[in-house]
Amino acid sequence: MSKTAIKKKVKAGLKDSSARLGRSRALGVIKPSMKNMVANYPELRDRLKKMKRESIDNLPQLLEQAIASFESNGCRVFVADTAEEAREYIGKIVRKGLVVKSKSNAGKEIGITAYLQEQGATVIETDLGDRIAQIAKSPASHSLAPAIHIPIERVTELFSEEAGEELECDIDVLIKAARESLRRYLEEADVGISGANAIIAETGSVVVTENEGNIRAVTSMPRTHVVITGIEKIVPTLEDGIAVVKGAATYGVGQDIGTYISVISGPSRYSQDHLSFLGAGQGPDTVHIVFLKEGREEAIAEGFGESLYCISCGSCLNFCPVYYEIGEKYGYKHLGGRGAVFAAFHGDLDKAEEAGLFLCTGCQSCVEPCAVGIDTPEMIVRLREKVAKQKGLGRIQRAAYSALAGNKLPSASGIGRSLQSIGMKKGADRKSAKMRIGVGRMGLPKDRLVPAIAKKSLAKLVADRKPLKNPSMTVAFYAGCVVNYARPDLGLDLYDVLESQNVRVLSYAKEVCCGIPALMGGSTEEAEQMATYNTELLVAESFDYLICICPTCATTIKKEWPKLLKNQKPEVRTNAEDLAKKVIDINDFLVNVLDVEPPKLADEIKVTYHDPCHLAKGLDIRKEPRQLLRQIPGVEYAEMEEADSCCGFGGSFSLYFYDLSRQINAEKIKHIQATGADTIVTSCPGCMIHIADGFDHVQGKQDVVHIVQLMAQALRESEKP
Amino acid sequence: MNRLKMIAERREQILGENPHWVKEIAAIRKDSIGNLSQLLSQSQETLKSKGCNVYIAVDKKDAQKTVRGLFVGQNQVVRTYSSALREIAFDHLLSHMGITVHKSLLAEIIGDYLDDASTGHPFLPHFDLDKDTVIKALQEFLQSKDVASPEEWNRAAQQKIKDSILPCEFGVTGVNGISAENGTIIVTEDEGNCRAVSNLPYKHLAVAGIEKIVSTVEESLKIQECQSIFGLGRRTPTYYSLISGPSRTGDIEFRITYGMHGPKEVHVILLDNGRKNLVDQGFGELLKCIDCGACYESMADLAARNGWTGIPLTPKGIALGIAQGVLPQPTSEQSMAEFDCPVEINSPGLGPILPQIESMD
Repeated sequence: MSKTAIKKKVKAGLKDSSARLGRSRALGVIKPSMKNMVANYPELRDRLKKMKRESIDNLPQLLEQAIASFESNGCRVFVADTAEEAREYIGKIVRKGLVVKSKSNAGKEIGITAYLQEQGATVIETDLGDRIAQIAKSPASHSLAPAIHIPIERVTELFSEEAGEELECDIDVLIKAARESLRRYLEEADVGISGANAIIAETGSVVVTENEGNIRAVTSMPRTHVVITGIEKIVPTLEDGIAVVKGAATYGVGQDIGTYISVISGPSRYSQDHLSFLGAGQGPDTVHIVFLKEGREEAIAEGFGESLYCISCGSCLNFCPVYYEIGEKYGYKHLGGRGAVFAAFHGDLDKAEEAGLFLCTGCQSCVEPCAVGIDTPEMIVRLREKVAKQKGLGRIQRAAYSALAGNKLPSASGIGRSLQSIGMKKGADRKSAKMRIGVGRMGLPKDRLVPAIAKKSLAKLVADRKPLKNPSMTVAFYAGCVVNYARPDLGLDLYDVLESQNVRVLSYAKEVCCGIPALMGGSTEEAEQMATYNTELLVAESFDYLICICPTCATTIKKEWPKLLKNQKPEVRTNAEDLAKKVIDINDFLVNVLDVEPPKLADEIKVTYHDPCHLAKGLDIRKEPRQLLRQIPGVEYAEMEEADSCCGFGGSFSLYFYDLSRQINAEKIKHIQATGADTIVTSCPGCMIHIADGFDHVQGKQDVVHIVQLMAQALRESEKP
Repeated sequence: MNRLKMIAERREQILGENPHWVKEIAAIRKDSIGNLSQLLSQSQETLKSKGCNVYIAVDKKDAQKTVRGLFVGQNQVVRTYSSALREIAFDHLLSHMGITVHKSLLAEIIGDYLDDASTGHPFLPHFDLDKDTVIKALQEFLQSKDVASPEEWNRAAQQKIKDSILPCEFGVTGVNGISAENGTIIVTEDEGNCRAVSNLPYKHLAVAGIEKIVSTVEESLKIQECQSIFGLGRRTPTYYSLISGPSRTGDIEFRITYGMHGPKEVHVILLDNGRKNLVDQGFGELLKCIDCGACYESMADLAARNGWTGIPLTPKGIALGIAQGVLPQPTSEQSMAEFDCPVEINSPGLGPILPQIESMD
């Protein structure tokens, strides 16, 4: 049920090209300015993370303190356990009145606008973008630029209708018209509803930030001000609150500080005691603080408190390849992957799935740009595990993971090869294939280029290779499934390159999958089996390094195996930790351990480099491949835009959501083509498969190669007489 | 003066719970006065980068010239209660220009209907009025006598104030602090009139003595918190408004446009008027003053003994008054040692300094 629902949402998201154009336009401005601004505040992220972590850890005490402070400031405080309680409380304040509202995630979460309108109230959005979207009855395309997809001509029509006169299609005229129309509502409104960027426990204050001034107006012009906020917004001190709003501006939009920050500590009053009998001054005489619990305590209790560090800056969305393609269809009430995580707690696992729990490609793009360093992909994996436990795996998934776990790939690949020769046709390069009859439902439509299963696996190919006589070093090579069964040529290239450096390579005919597909699919049990089996296999012989040419395998060995095996016998744990220390990506090894001098290519080529997510964001290896490429004589290097954006592969993600994955890929292909490179180098067999497929769709003639391939080619060419 | 005693008692209670404040504030003030020139040029740059129009006024005349230039063609403006505006004789200037000045702080408006309201307190127009006096003043302001309840009078008065703000093209405010790092103006208050004056009109003029500049927003907020504790005996002011440039939006096709809900133009006059000179002559100590009024009682005594009127009765106000030649030379000394001064302006003491200032010019 929820799988069909999310597929529908993805489809709708992919269809809405005007919203995508809007996002593209907004992000084109926001991302570079965010990166520039963040560089100015290197300590901000750690400070924010520490502070938010401590705040969430002490949430019950902070909530109690905040309630007391607000009440002593003269505010009325209501703690709503559920969205329904919050809606009812606010509903009673508003009745059928006129409400002016500013942007509020908590307000959106509880659906306050629809609720109030249903009971006969009028609710006016005051943020310009939200107002345009409200008049146009169009959903927001970006949380910070909700109407970015609506062209100015359409805005002119909408505002002309609203104003009852023909307005000129000029941005200043439109802004003025909006100001005047919204000002009238603000003057007459009974209630102003705002959210909060931060709540200060010590002083009983609400901190809000913005650029337009509508929040200032909403919180100061009507006589009643209602603040609706999740309890996770509470921080200890005003200084902490200022750090939150500065962080939101820096990470969300690349401003050092928002145009306006308002700190509100109670209803308006007179400074002089002898005037207090008069009541309030120019501001509201009544301030309600509605604290929303709704699933937050459950999230903390179940180990997902990290999702509540969020300061709602939206930065994660700006870097998420899935959000870029399908916008607000990814998430549930709160957007993106973090929204999917949160849906599990203010909804249930079905809601989380519907929000896109299985949409995350695991690319890690959101982690680094997060103002508070939330590891959303990690939480998503943990939730997928819960889904798998609760609902069980699908039949195909179950079969696939157990095949991977039980070392059944050798026989499976034999069967696969037979089937392949019947059902698929080989690509021009003989290394890839396409379905004769497409199975779009399983992510294998007719026009998808996938790797062909190789005639001989790597294990067979290296079986009779002559060992080096006096190697200077011995390394183990964990090949991974793609190399073992589809691209063993990459493994042979690795042997050539390392042996040319007098490094002995050990490889393992019996290795099984590293476990990441199972882990990403929620099947931790199978992943643990694979990690256990591989660990035992690998530690049997001694070696200095464990080399990977698939960074996904490397990241899994480094980060996931120790976690997967943490409950096992001490020696197994020690072994896994030892492997985690020894595992190294080939780029890292060639540059930082061997310090190789790359050989010369026969012909000059122009190359660009695509950063695999797990290598760049997972292992922070970015400069090494570039250094190698620049050192190869005969290589002209051109950097592409957004070189570290995800190609859209994401393993099984590209099977479940092939259309989405293909559209993400198309963006990558565009960046590659813009460089004019004839060879695309990367360091991940998975990315290679997907990028090759992407080029196939645009009839590109470019070569997609692994860096080890290029090194081996140069080696062979320079050895030729 | 029992209102002051009440404030002092509340202050003692708050400080008892948070003894660290005084030291922090004293250090911040010392640093910012020590780096005044540098902070001034930094904030000039950052304010501009935020889209403000910045004017450095060397003296009162200079500031008035800027005001005159900005207000050509206006027939009314609205302002908040501000010692910087009094320092440049704002109302006087505007009445000469034939421009109506609307006040927005109800407490100040009430003062207009009292016989003797000029108290010299740095940010309170008066204190300790009885209810009847307040009501009578409100009736006069509203030109009406049918009274139902004080709350209704109050509401009507605030509506009248709002009605005077809305049609004004210019809102004029003082400033409680400026962050040089961000180019941010900070306005602090309880009533909410400053928020209205700085947000509703199309243009905002802020006038700030340059000693209000500190390095960061956080420092400035600490100072203002301290001002509330020392001046009012209250832990937290009701409103802080941090303003970094004109109101803007990018919501139509991501084109940045100004003047969405708030002002389209923000003008900032940074007023020197003798301050840099005071620092250069070694009297920077007096500019550490945060205008809290904790020493108000003693300053009022000192002023009475010397026949000083018409200036804020703070160490800073008095020092500036003498430096600018507004006040005559002091005839009696006053040590600051016994005051609850949050920035510890007790060394070397105001008394010995004052007679020297006069000879500076």
